[in-house]
Amino acid sequence: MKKTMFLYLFVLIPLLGIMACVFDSDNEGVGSFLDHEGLPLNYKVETLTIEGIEPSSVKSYFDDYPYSANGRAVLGTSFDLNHDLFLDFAFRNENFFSEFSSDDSASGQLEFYLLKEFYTSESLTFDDSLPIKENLTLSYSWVLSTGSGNRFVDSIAGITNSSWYSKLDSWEEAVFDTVFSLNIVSYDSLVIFPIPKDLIQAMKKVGDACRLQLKISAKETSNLYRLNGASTPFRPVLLLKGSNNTYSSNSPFRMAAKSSYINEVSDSQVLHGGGLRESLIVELPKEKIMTALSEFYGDEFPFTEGDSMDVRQMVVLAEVKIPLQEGTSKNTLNKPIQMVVASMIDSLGEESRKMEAYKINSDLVKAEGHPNMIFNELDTLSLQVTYGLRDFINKASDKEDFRFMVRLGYPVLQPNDPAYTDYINTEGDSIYFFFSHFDYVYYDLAPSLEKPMTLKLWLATKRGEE
Amino acid sequence: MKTLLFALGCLFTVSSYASSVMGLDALGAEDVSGASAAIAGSGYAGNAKASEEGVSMMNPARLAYNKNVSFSANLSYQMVSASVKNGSLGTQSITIPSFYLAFPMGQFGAFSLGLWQHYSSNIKLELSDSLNSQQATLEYQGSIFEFTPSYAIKLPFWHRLSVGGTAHFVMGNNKRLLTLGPDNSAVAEEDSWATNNSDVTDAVNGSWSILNHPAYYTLAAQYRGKTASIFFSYTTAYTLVNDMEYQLQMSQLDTLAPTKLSRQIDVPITLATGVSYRLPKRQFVMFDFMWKPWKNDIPNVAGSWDLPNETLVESEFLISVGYQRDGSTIFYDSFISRMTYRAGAWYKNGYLKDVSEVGGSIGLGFPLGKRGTTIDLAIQGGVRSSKSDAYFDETFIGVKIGLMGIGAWGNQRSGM
Repeated sequence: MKKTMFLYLFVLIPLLGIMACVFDSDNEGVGSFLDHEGLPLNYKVETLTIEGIEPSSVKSYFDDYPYSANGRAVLGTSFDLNHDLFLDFAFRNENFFSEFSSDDSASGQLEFYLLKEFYTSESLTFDDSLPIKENLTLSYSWVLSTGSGNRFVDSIAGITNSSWYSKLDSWEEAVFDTVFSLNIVSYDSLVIFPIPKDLIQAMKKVGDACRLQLKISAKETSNLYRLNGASTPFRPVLLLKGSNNTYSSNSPFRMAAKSSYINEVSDSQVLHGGGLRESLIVELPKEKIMTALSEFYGDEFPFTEGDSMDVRQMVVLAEVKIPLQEGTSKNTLNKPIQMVVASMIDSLGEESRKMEAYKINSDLVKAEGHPNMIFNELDTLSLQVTYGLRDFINKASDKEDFRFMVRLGYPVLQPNDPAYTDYINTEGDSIYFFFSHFDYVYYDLAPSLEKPMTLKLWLATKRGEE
Repeated sequence: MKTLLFALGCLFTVSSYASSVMGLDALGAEDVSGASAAIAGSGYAGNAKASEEGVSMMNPARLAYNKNVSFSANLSYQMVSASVKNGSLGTQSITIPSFYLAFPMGQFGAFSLGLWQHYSSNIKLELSDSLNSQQATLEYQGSIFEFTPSYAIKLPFWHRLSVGGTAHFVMGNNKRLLTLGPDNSAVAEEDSWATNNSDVTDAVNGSWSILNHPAYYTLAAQYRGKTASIFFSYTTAYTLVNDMEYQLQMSQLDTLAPTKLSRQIDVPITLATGVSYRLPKRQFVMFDFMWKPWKNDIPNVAGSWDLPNETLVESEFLISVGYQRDGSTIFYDSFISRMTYRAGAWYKNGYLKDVSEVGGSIGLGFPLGKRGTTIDLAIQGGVRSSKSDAYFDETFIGVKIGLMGIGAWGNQRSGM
């Protein structure tokens, strides 16, 4: 038996091992096999440029529904937009209010901290603009409800943000203006807003506990103040002062902002950035794309055989090139801004929006900067719509026109850096690609979209040699 | 013994895919005779040998002569080398092509359940030549499995004759993935950035079933003589349906919407017969013959690129001869004399047109324990040659290992 084991271990198994090596493949062998079977060794890339495409429609969507300002808050205006702030307070202080209600010298103020990390960012040069001086008109309106006990205060916290936002949108309260002279000399100092006498009077009615929902607008300023929100360490404070140095200092437990047009507009093709809920949907005519594909391949497009799914080729990359006219557009930070693209694609029979990937053309970026940015002194904006066109050609038989969506992203600090992300360089320095705060701009795409655009497709062609 | 199994196990786990590179787009390679290691050892001959325990897919009637409850599982390892024009092409595969359970019920006949991988196309080939911008990975993973309940009974008035049948419920999946790198030779240099690192996969995923029917059937009759046994079997024709989804994809999550395709493969009837003749000293010679008159060419998996649309077929037959010396059943005999020895050879005209296969095998059965539990080892080798240019000739070496477990369940204690 031992002899048999020896035979197995030292003869049979090594023999199998050697055979395993003999029965191996090399590149030439696999190549000639694939070739023989009629299978390719790579896919042929072909490019197709479709020129002179005029959008069949361009539609902008702007949502002025309130949104959270717990982190960063904005107050003021930016070009054609106005930004209001809403503060939600809930507090109790029975001792204080017992004297405050009959105090004739009662006063109060609202204190904000500026968003220092924005204003003192090394990438920007705001320090030159100090001091900021202006006669600021603030418009206040509020809803005050009173109650008593901790239970009252706790019950306010039970109101969800979304239900709070939904009621802010339809606020019709009396508006009280205060005009004062604002003078900011340091980004560290508090910004103190006086509050109207009527608000002080109203607060005198509070016996024990209250909920104060306060709205502040600054429609007449041409500045946009960036402030710290309710959930930051530097949250705003509502300071109520009585005589005898008694005071009550309270911070809002949540804040919201509402950005809306100063004047109603129609048929706008303007984007504002700022992370606002807005988008521009551009529609390219189907027929133009299908005709170009038919001429290119000599096949029928759209494909209607069988279940009409066109798997004869695949879009590896698609780029739409829009000639830029930036004359009427304005920004504040003077940095290029990334254009974010998404396409409407089919997902299990439902149309859904898919964010497009961005593949970097390093040589071009080093020479001219990223082609998907505005305010970058480019005469052409190139947007990649690969997922969208891949899906569109795949299912063209039951599709209407091709649609993609654009909106504005973050300002870009390194427009010529192909990294397209933050990184640490060889010297150990952090290189930030995007600026971490939005710019609030006025970017009118209408003049650019009036000119015909170009669509360029990189196609993986599956057709064999005929 | 344990060391040997362990070492073989280690060797098998490092190997990858494939059994033959012929007919991958049709049905793939056929594992005949229920893919049992025992019958593979005698060159696929021995379906008529009634004293053999276990299940024969060619001859379900043999089941009636089983004495013990048995379980068998088979493991197959194959290495194939195709003689391509340039370079070398070799593949390896490991599969568990079948397992069976058999329950003899005395005068009520015998019943068995099995799972048999009848056809398989498993291969993975990679080509990476960045100099010529050639990058391709071809992967086939396909199995036509059959779930096979069988029943056989000895005729009550004449125990030398038994009849049996098997229903073959067909199931399984198939997949072909061809992943390709870009060839930028036709685009301008400044445009080549767009497709760098963009691999495109041509993907087909399908499943198997039978048209308009749950199963196909084998019927057999067996005569068990004192020295000679013989069987005849007939298997019904059926139409295989392969429903497929075909698409191009960048990754599994980034695909085109697939187009749905279906192909039908007309599998003809099978006629089989075999003789087993007993010689002195537990020796047997065996002869088997199987015939399958293929008529209709087989549509290929989702015709694309320059693939031909069909795989041409021809009448399939298998002639096999085998020798077996059964091991002694006396536990106190030496291990060598308790071992079973097998040898055989076969000639097979495959279903692929102009392809024939000649092979030989040797087999050993190692007894484990008193009851008759056995490990069967078969080593097969041979050549598949093609008269036409459609296929490359192939050399193959295969190892099959089967475990046959015999249980005393349901048997009366005897000899005590």
